[in-house]
Amino acid sequence: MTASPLSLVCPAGTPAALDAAVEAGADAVYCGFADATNARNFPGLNFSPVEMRAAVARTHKAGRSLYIAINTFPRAGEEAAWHRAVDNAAEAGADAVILADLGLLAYAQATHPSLRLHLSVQAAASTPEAIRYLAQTFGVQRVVLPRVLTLAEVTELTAAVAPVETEVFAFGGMCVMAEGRCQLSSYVTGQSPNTHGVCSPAGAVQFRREPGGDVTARLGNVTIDRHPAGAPAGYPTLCKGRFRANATTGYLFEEPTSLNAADHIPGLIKAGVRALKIEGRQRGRAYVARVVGEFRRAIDAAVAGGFTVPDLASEMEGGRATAGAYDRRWR
Amino acid sequence: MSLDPTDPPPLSPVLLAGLAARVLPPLPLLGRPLAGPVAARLSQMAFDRLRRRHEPVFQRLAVLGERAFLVDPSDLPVRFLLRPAGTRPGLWPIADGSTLPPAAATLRAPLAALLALLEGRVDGDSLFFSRQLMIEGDMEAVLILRNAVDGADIALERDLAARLPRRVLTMARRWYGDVDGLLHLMARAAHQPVALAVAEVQP
Repeated sequence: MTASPLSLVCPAGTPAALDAAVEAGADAVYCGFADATNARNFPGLNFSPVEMRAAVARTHKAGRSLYIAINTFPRAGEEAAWHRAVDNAAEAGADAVILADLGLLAYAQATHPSLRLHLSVQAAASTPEAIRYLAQTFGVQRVVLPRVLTLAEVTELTAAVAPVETEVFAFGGMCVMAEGRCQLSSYVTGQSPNTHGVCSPAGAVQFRREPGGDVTARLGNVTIDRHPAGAPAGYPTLCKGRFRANATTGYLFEEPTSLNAADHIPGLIKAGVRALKIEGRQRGRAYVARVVGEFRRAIDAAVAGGFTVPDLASEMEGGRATAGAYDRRWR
Repeated sequence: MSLDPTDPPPLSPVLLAGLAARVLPPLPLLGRPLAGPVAARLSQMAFDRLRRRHEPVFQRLAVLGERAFLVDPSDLPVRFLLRPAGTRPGLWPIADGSTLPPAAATLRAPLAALLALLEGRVDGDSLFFSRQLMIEGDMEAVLILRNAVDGADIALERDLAARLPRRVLTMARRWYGDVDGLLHLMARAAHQPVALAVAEVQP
């Protein structure tokens, strides 16, 4: 693999997905522990401390990096679990931890001064002032930008916060809310990605096939969608539900669609963005292998002066893609 | 909750094979191949072998306790009850028309999709987004199963046929290739009138 100005950061929810990401050409892989300390706390997913140590060793042997996401906010009185996660990450030899909470940033800096700190998208830092403050106070070296910025805004921000590196989402689930502050899941289920690490917890989701063949999706006690059996589907989250308002039924918040910013790879390289992030630690290793492989080829081609947009339609939520805010024309 | 067993499955080569097996006199057993004790024994043998070869995966699945899954290949006249853990783990075939046992969740998809999912060759969310995979019931149990299996590196040919002589495997692959090609041809032929009708109404 040739050295690229744009590092490809890829998801892994299981050791098998991690191996798939490395094999497909990831420069770095990000993972989480199997508890509420990370924002993909789904049943059967993630790594034990023992598995994480083995994962770091395998990743380093392949010459790649491993980041550990500890990107939820400690619940009052339960900070010890989050501190332990940071300690375990440092002991495992992680190349960086991805944090959102100010107290956890302070703990990591004080306890493990040589541990590299990345700011999670969950921190929703999107101004030069906020990013500079976090860099100066805690030594944050990279910030993952929210998915609400245009390419022009990403370019401007990247220049303004240098030498702090910027990382942006390139593919996968769309979350257009102010991340780390969204309360929709918590409103219906009592659990949110912010403190429990899970949006729309599986225990609150129900799909039911109606007598006429339609499929009803429910989250807690709320019906969030009903559609014909063969219609494309999205994740059962409140923000992607269809509701009736003002005599019209439609998507009130956002449509089930995947982000695909592959078109913007040349522009992001030009903007000085340091890393491109693929979302999807909850996805299978087939998704990881396919998406990472396609983005590896696209980045290498863009660096070499040529560029082709990968075809990843089959992996997309709702079967559709959007360039999201990168192309935003609304205010 | 349960799926409606009277729904017609999608037209596929496997379905055509099932239909053909039902109407062709020389192959009377293939129409209901998994209802008898031999099929039950084969299912259990396959399950036991997978459990031995992928012990860490089944350790991860221990949290399921007694929860069972109804696995429904939509293009076959048979379903399977899968209980990965608990006091009596196993895989049992249930012939069409039989009373369905209680299950925590139901997974319904064409056989090829279910096998691809088992081997981690396809992403479960992608199958779900395109509605090739229908899920009902205990979603937490489904995610535990899906995530454990996806990380398992299961390869059915390697795991189940490891002790078969190479010559038998080669013959089986050749036979499967011939039959699969023929069935795909039949499926395309069966779809053709629909495709022509759709082409006519499109502007």
